[in-house]
Amino acid sequence: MFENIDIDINSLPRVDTKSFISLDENYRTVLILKSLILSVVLIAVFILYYQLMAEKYPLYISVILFVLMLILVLGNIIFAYLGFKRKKYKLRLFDIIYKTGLLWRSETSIPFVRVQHSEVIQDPIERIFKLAKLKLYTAGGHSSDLNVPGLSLHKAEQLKEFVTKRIQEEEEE
Amino acid sequence: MSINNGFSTPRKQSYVAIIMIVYRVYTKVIKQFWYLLIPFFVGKKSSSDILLYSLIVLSLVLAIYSIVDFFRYRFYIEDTDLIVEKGVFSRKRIVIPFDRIQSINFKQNIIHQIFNVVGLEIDTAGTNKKEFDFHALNKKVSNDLRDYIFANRKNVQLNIAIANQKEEIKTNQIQNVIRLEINDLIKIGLTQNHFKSLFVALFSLYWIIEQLKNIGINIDKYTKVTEDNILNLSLYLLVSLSIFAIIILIIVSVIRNVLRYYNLVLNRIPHGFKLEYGLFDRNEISVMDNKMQVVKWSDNLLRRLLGLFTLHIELASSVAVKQRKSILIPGIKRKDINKITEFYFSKDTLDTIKFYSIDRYYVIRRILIVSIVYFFSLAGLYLINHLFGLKSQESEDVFIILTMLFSYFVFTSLLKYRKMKFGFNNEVIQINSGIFGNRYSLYTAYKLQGVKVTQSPVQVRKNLANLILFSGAGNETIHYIKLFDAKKIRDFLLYRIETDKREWM
Repeated sequence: MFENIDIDINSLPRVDTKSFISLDENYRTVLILKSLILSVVLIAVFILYYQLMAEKYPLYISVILFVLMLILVLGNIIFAYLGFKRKKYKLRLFDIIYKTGLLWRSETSIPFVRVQHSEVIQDPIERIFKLAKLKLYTAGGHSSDLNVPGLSLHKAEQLKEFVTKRIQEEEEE
Repeated sequence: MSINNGFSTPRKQSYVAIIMIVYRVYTKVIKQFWYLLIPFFVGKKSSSDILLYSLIVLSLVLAIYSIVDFFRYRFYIEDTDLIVEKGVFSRKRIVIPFDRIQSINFKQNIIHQIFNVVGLEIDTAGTNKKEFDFHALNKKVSNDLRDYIFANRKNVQLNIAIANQKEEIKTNQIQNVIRLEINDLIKIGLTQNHFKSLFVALFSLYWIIEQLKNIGINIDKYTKVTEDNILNLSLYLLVSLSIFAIIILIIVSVIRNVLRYYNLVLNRIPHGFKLEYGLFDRNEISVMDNKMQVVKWSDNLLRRLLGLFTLHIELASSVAVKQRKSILIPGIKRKDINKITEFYFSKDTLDTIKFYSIDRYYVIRRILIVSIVYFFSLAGLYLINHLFGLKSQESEDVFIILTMLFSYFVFTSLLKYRKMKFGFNNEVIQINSGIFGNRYSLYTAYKLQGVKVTQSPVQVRKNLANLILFSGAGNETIHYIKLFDAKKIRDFLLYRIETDKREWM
């Protein structure tokens, strides 16, 4: 029988901000590699422009584009480097929390009772470093799915198993 | 388990279904290619003979396809699964466990009504389209089928088991909650947001003209308006024409409303609601309580005078089908909303919600951004004026338009800020918003899917945050509250989700 008792909001379990777990150190390299790939594409586009079309326009346009490209490339790499430190997760008995974002920060929490299914995925770069991503799906649509990247494959599988076990336990109750 | 009314043997739909399938296939085709038919009515007959013959052949093929489709369609029940076998070229077997069925809706258009059959839509959670459609089924068979499915669902039985006895006796009978009479529907039609229908009308007119142009009919020839003509048209005529158009629009909207929602009845059935409405197209939607995720109601300036709201009860579903899967009541009084929510929550739940305002930095920031855009536009205007020398009349016009837009944004931002409120108690979390009208969303706390706290760079500096609620029927954001409060509410919601063992859908 469900009972609706009064709750003192100050006595609720808090999400302790200190004990978040950082991602695998190798994931920083993966992030930088990924932004380097984007940088190569950006540089290639600029070179293509400079070779083919730059003559038709005044020089200052090329300069502006070059500076813009430089900002994008460097910014991307710096953000990838610094952003890594912000990506952290935390497992509790009843839910999982993932936080990310250097400038735009976010902290997503999904209770295990609401997880529809989970999977471990790897992209080619992650595979080189033996890293994987844990994906948890809920019924709230794409935006409410929770991804924890940068886990060692072993750890990702372990986490997935833990989550699956917890879901089962919750359902049996 | 009781005898399943002979549903265990595969059976076909009612033969009326053939008409429905043919009708549906034809309307689909005509909607796509209707402008191809126009040459038949606008002369040039000799050149379109081939077109005519191919259309006849096409219709015949489609008719045969529909009939084959009908004879290949079978459904039956196996244990607690509904099974449908269908497909003209490749055979498909669809299995739907009863537990996944979240509502069974009846639809009766005019043909259904003549033959006393109903069309069935069976909705399941989490899929983008309806799993199946029964085009036509005998009315008694559909009722039996629905009753059988709802009676044999595991999770419903669980709910009955935990409900106390007093409640069971009370809910075992059907009880009317809301009934809309013709005069209610006229009021609802009159107070609708007519700007929307105006845009729709203008847009569809534009679209029709474009389609006609595509097949070589030039409308401009008939409606050529030269500058002289415009001058000849007196202001009086223009004004009376637009008033006439608006009146027509309102009359059409009233008639549409009356036909669409004719004799709307919302009944309380055991563990759910049943909604019936419509004159030519009669709809019947049943929704079980545990599927409900959000209750939303809203008004506009006109409706506020009459104290009328539009009410949505949204169910667990993917975003794409949210519209179809929600219960909609086009006009409802505040006290009737309370009557409905009392079936979901304990009696004083709505009265015990404590409301809070959002941080005023929300409106300060909005106005700041709009002002920056405004001043940059003015600077741009000055620059263009200086360089190219616009006529003074022109730059004056642009200045006036910019200033009006600026004032509108500032004004609506202030209104929006004033209406943004959020509140919660043990059972629910409610969010109020709106600019001219009001919108209220009521989320069941324990049914939420997850919570997210976000901060933009500015919010980090000011120690503010947005709180995003994920529900089975879409997301909602509470903007600009103290980071500390956002985290506290997050902790509270997580606690409610994790400790409440009731089914969320």
